[in-house]
Amino acid sequence: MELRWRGVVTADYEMELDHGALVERDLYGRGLRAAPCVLLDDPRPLGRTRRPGVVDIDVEVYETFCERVRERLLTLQGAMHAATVFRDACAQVCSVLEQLERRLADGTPPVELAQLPALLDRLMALHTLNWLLPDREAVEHLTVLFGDEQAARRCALAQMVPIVPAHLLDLHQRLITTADTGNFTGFARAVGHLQAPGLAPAAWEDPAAVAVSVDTLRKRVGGSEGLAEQDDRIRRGRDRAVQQRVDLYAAALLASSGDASAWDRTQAIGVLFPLAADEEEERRRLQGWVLRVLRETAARHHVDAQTLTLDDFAALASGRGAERGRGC
Amino acid sequence: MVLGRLARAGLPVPDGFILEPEEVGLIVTGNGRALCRRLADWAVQNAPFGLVVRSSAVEEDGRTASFAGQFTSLFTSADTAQVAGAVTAVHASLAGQGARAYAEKLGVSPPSTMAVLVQAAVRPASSGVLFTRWDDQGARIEAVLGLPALLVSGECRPDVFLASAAEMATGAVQVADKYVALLPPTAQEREVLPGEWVAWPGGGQAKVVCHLDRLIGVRPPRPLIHQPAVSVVQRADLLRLATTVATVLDEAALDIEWACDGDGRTWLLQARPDTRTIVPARPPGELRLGHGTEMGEGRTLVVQGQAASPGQVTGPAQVVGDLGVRGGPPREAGVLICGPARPELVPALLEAVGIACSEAGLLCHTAIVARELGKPCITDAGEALTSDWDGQQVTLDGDAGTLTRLGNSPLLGDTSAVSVSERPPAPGSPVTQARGDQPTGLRVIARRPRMAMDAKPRFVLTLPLPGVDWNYDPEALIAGGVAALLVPAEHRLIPKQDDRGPWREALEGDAERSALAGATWTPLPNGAWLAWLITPPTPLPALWAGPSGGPYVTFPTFGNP
Repeated sequence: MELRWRGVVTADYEMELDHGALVERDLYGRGLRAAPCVLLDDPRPLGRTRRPGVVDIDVEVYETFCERVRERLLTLQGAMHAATVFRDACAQVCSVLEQLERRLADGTPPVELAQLPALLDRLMALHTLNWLLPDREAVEHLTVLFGDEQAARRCALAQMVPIVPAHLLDLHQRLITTADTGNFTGFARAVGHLQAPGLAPAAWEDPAAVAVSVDTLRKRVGGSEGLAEQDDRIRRGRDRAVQQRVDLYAAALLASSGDASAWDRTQAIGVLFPLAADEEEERRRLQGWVLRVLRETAARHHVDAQTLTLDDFAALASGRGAERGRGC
Repeated sequence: MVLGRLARAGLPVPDGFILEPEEVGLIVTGNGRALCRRLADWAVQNAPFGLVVRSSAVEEDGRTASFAGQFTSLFTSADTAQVAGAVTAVHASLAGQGARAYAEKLGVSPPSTMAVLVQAAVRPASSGVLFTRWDDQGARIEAVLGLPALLVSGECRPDVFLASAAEMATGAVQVADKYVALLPPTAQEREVLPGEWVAWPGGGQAKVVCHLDRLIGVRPPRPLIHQPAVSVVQRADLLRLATTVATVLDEAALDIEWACDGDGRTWLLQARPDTRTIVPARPPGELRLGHGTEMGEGRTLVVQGQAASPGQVTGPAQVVGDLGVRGGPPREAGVLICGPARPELVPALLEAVGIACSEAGLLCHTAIVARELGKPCITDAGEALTSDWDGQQVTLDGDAGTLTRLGNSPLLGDTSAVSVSERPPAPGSPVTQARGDQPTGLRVIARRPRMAMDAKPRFVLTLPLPGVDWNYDPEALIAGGVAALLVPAEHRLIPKQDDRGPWREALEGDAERSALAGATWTPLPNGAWLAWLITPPTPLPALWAGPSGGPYVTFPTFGNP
C-alpha cells in the first residue's frame, strides 16, 4: 500500500502481509528498490528501507520513477527489455532452486543461497507492473486506432491473458489429473505449496489432504465425467481467450499501419500486457517455490524461518548462522 | 444545547465547555487569546486525544430544521493558537453557502449567531448513529470502527443492525469490511510516520495509513476488520441508552451519534430529532455505499468497481468470503462475489457466469482467471462482499465495471433467471468472427487496412491454436484479399530457416496440407509470426502507408474446405 505524508511516499508491504513472514515482505521491499535498475538501467536504488517491507521514497523521486517506467514500457525496446529481464530471472531462479533442492536432498551446504538475493531482486522488481502497467495510456492509444473506447478496452484486457496458464486453473487441472492417477504424493511435492501463499506449509503439501480434496471435488462434480467436463471447460476457455488475444493484437497491428510510432507502441502493448499477466502468474509460482525451499533450508539449519530476512538466508550459504533465527 | 440537557440528566457526555456567542466573537476578532489558553491548559490535563470544536447554534437540532452537517466540526490539539483557529473556522461556517441553502430550502431563517461547543475528544473503538425509529420496525444502528466521521459523511459503509430490541441482539443486516478507521491522536501520535503502529482502543495495534485534518487514519487490527463493530451486549446497552435519551428529550424519533471507547464506556456525541423526517437524505430501505450509487426504486444499488473482463450477465449473486460461503449453499450459474482467488474457489469460478471480486486491479489472479475462462469480471467490488447481496438478482457489467443489485429482486437462487448477453460491437469496432464455442479454423480480423498495396483491401488472418485441424488453399486466401497469417506465439515456432521454414513446427509435421508452404516469415517481438502470402513489404509499416481506408467491414467467412 502506498502512503503519502510530508513529501514522502511509503510503500508498506506489511499492510497486506502482516500475517506473513519477514522474508516475504523483504522480497517485495527489495524488489521495489531494485526496480529502477531492472526497468530503467538506473543503478540508484529507489528510496530507503525503513525495515524489511517498508520503503520510504521522496515523492518527487517516486513520481519521476513511475513516469519514466510507464513511458519506457510503452516503447517496444522497453517492453522487450522487461520481458527479457523477466524470462532470464525466471530461468535463473528456477535453476538455483533446483540446485538448492538437490542440496536439501543430499545434505550438502546450500552454497547457491548466496546467489538468490540478487536474482530474486530482479524477479521481484517486476511486481511493480501491478501498478506501473500503463493501461490507461494503452487504452488511449488503442482508442485512437480503433476509433472506439470499448473496443480498445476489450483489446487491452484481451492482451492481459498470460502465455503460461493461470496458476489457479493449472493447479485445478493438476488436481483433476491426480484424481485419475491417484498420485497424491507427487501432487503434494510438485505443487502443493501453491495452495496458499506464504512461508507456512500449505495443507496440500500433505498427500492425505490432497486425497481428501480430490475426493470432495469428485463428489461435488459428480464423478469422473464431471472432472473431465471441468478440465475441458478450462481448456476451451483458455483456447478462446488466447485466440482472442491474438486476434485483437492482429487487429491493432493492422490499425497501426502507416504510422511507425503507432506500430511500435502497438507491438509494445503486445509484448507488455501478456508479460504483466505472466509476471503475476509465474512470480506467484516461483515465490511459492522459493518460500518452500527457504523454509526447508531453515529447518535443516535449525533456525526460525519466520524471523529471517533474505540476506539472513543467504548467510546460511557460507555456514554463517543466522543468529537472529537461532533457538527455534 | 441538547448535549447540555443530556449531561445535566447524568447521561454520558464528554466533558467540555460552551463558548457563548460573545466569547466566540472575542476569539474571532483576535481578542480571546486568554480564553483559548485556558481551554488549551484544561485540555492538557483532561483531553489526552485533543479537543473537538463544534457549532452549537440555537437553531440547530430543532424539530423543523436540524442543520445537520451544515456547520464545521474540527478536531484540534491542546494548543492555544490551534484552539483559536478551530473556533474561528467553526464560526465562519455560519455564513457558509451550505447553511444558507439548507435554510432556504426548508423556509427557515439561518442562525445569526453561534455558540461553540469545545469537548474532550473521545478515542472510540467503535461509533455510529442510532435511529430510534426506523420504518416502524424499531431501531437501526449503523456502526463503524473508530470515529463516526467517515460514516456521517457517507464515505464508508457501516455495519447495520435493524430490528426490534429483541432481534437486535441476534443479528445484523450487514457487516461491512472496515479497512480504515479514524482516531484522534495523542500529541506524540501526531508525528508518527505512516506505516508505524499505534495502540488501538481496547487493545492491539493499528497501523497508521494517513494523517487527515488532525486525525489519524489507521488500519484496524486484522481480527476486527470483518467482525461486527459492536457486540451484542453493546447493542443492547445502546438501545437502553437511547430510550433514556428519548425520555429526557421528550422526543421519540431521534438520531443519536454515539461512541464506545476502549474501556467499554458508551458516550453520547450528538442527539437530534430524526433528520430523515426533515430532509430525507436516506430514503427508508436504501443502503449507502461509499463508492456506489443508489438508483431507481426500492433497493437498487450499484457498486462501481474496475472493468476486468468484458461482457454483461444477470443472475443470482453467490457471495463467498475469505473464509467460505457466507450466504448459503453454492448455486450454479450465478454471479460469484468473492474475495481473493484461491484454489478452493476454482469450482465456483468455473460454475459462475460472472465474477465480482474484492481484489483490486486488472492483474489480480481472479481477473486473470476470469479472462482465461471468458467470463465477465469486475474487480475492487469488495463492497458487495456481504451477506445481504447473497441470493439477490444482480447484473454484472464487465465493460462498465459495475455490479447492480436490481430493485425488488427475489431472495432466491433461481438459475433460470440467468442471462448472458454479448454487446454487439460498436460501430467502427474491429470484429472478430468466432465460429461456435471454440476456434475451429482461420478467423477473420475484419478491419480494413488503410491502404492496400495493390489498391485492394488486404487482411491478416490469425492462425488457430495448435492441434486444431485446418487446411486452406493459399491461392484462395490470396484471391480473397489475405495478405498474411498471424501465427500465435502459442505455436512456439522454432525460428530455424531451412528450405521449408519454421512453419513445419506449427503444423506438427503435416506440411503438405499447409497453406503456408511458400510463405515468408516475419517474427514479431511477442513471439508471434506473420506468414506472408504475398511478397512482404519492407519495412513492415510501409505496407499500410497511405490514406485512411474506409469503414470497418466484416470479411466473408472462409469455410473449411
